[in-house]
Amino acid sequence: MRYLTARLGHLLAVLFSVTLLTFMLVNVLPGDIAYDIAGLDASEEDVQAIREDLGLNRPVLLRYIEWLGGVVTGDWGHSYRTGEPVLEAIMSRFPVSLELVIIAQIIALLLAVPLGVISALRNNSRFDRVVAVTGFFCLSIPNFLMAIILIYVFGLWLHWLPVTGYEPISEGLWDNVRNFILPSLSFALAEWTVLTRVLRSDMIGVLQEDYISMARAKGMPVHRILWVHAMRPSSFSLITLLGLQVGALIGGSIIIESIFALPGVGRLLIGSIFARDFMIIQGCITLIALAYVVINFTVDICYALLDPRVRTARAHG
Amino acid sequence: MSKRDLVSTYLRRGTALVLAASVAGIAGIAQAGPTKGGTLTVGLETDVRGFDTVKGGVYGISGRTVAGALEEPLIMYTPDLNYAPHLATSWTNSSDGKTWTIKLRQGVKFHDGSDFEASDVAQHLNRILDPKNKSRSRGFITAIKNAEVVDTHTVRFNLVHPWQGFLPAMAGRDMGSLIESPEQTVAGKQNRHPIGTGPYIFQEWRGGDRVIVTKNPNYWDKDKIHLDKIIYRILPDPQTRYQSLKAGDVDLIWTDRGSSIVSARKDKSVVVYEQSGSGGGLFLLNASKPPLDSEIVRQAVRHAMNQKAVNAVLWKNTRPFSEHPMPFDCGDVNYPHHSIEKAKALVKQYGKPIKLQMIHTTTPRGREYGEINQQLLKKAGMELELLPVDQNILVKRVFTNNYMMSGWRIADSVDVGPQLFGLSFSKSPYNITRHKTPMLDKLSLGMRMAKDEKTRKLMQCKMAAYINKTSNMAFGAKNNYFIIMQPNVKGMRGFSYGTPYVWYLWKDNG
Repeated sequence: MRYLTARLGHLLAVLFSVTLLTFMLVNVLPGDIAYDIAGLDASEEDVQAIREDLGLNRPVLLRYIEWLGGVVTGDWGHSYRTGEPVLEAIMSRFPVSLELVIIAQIIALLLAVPLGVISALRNNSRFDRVVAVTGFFCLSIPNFLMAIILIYVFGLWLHWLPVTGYEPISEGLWDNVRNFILPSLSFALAEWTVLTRVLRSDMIGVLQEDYISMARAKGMPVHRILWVHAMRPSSFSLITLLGLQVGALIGGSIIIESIFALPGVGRLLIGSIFARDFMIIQGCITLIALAYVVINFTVDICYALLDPRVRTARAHG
Repeated sequence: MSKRDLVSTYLRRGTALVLAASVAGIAGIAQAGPTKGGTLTVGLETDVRGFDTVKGGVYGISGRTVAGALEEPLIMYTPDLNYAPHLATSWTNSSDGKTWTIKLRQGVKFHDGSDFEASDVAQHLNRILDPKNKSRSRGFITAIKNAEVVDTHTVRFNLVHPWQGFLPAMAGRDMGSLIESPEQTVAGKQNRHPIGTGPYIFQEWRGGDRVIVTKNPNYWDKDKIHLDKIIYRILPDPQTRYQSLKAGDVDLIWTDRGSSIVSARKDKSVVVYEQSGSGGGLFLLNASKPPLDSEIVRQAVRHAMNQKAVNAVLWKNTRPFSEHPMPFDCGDVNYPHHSIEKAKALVKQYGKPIKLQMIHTTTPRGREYGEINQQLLKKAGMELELLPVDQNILVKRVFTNNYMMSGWRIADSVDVGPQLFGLSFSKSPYNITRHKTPMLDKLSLGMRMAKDEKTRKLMQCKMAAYINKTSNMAFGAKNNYFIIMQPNVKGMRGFSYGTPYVWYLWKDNG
């Protein structure tokens, strides 16, 4: 209970500092959303009238406190450009970004775990070297370039998969998933390398432990040694890295979402930054900060589940 | 039966068969025409901000392409520069030019089943004209004092002064011209759930992703409408948009990217439809910032600039060279053609070093435009400093007189008169080049108050000629539109305001 209270306090402190800093920085940026709303054919009087309507002439700190009060009561404000409620705008786009991240991580893990384990078992073999070279090759290609290559091969040349778009799951599972294959691969084909190398390193160390030698000596099958006894202690770094990657992807998927025209949080955020739509920017940043903290918390829980020593240490304070 | 009878029988039957087949064939040909049904997917550059005249701001091409399927203007502008009845069936102007009376079409209904009447038109226009509402569309129609109901299907527009821009305004594709549902507007829902009288009904809007509209079964002109559904997909990146078309994810896109257009023209798997427009690029020279307060310096800059080179590099020659922004011919308008020799002579005449600054956007096109002008001015003996800024900041700097030179644009419009007036009249809040030219003021007022269209057009030509002579602005390439489509998309016809009339299209199954 004490642990949970401490984590909650930590979450609130992070959210407060991130949102305050963002609010101040965005308001310091040159440019003015009122000009974007008014359009090129407006007059300066029109622009000033818009500023007055949106309350942009009021002190920044006052606007932040009002915003904070609204957030606590569930009112995250309205977009200056479209009038759409911020929470509604973000929540309609968050599932898209989340699905992209989850599918990307699943693909990365499906590649990384078996390849990492086998590479660890056969370290310095030809297989290990081929996996390493292939991995570094994939890692050296920026994800936007990977996206373009995938589009040309699978979308324009083979016509196997759609190039752009998004269909919600309500339109059909395959219609939903097939729009995520290429964008997810754009991420996963870089990430699997890092996950593989980390898992491989940890597992090589674990496989040299005495209890593993004991298991071998007792005649335990190799697959049981690997998947039951070696996998758990080797996965702490993997889980930490996974948590960091997921957090980074939620906010960092701007380029991939733009290339594949996925209506996610990344695209919403970048459009809002260019237009100086402060309320949407605040909402997106708050969501991303929340995501990081929640994921970090989840990673800690996973540690406790994987390693009884962590649970015991926490129980004894 | 004898042999003779047999032959006769077979001949009769054969003839009957041939005749029947011919009739069926002719009937088939007669019935061939637009294919009914199906879904058209259109790739748009930007999302719509909203559909309410007051809350939604102003439309761009994307907004107009969506809104045009849902809402309609009173008058249609035909590609041959004439006006055709639409929601209005006839219109008359009073002898003093200050009153327009419009008869409305009967039997038209809004999507919610309510009747379309004169009170709807009056309410829509008066709402825009009310200064308290601060509608962004108001600035375009300030010559209208108010709109009043004469009877259920007759509206009277009272003008501040005779205004030949009235019919173009009623034939427009902007928020003010397209008639909204008054009930939906009063309920505060029009912005996100639009209702109009148009051939399609709003179904769904997934922000940042797509807008979906479905066929209006009660549309008053249903013979012209063929598709069951139109899906407008938001694809901001031009390369992504083009690739989506090539991959078959969308049926039709609009683009201004020279490389895509050139590639599409050579590609037999797509069809390119080209439509010329009005308006176009504009280059501003701020007459309040020395040394641009000197007409000699401004003319030197104009002669150094090279529109043909800019068209070749930035637009890959997909836009026409243009001496003025109007969609009609003006004859000679004093256009200062590129000539480094003339520019050098003017620099020498000025007699002092000329140091200038140009703001431009940080986009590749903005940077290229700046660099081209920098090199050209350098050849003529002038120094040009480039200052890249965000689009948002560029607009702010122009409006707050914090710039020396900048790119700009004149929006495509049936009548560019209001924009020309705003840019030219010295007391206009839109005089962004801050010039004070009595002759241009006189021409602007003469254009605005012209009693007939011929005089109005003549005055616009004279304004363009005077602007070219005094060089506080430089007209650039005229707008030119390229719609790239799948080959089975049919029915594209001439359009106005750069807005393809996608709601009239159909898709062949073959």
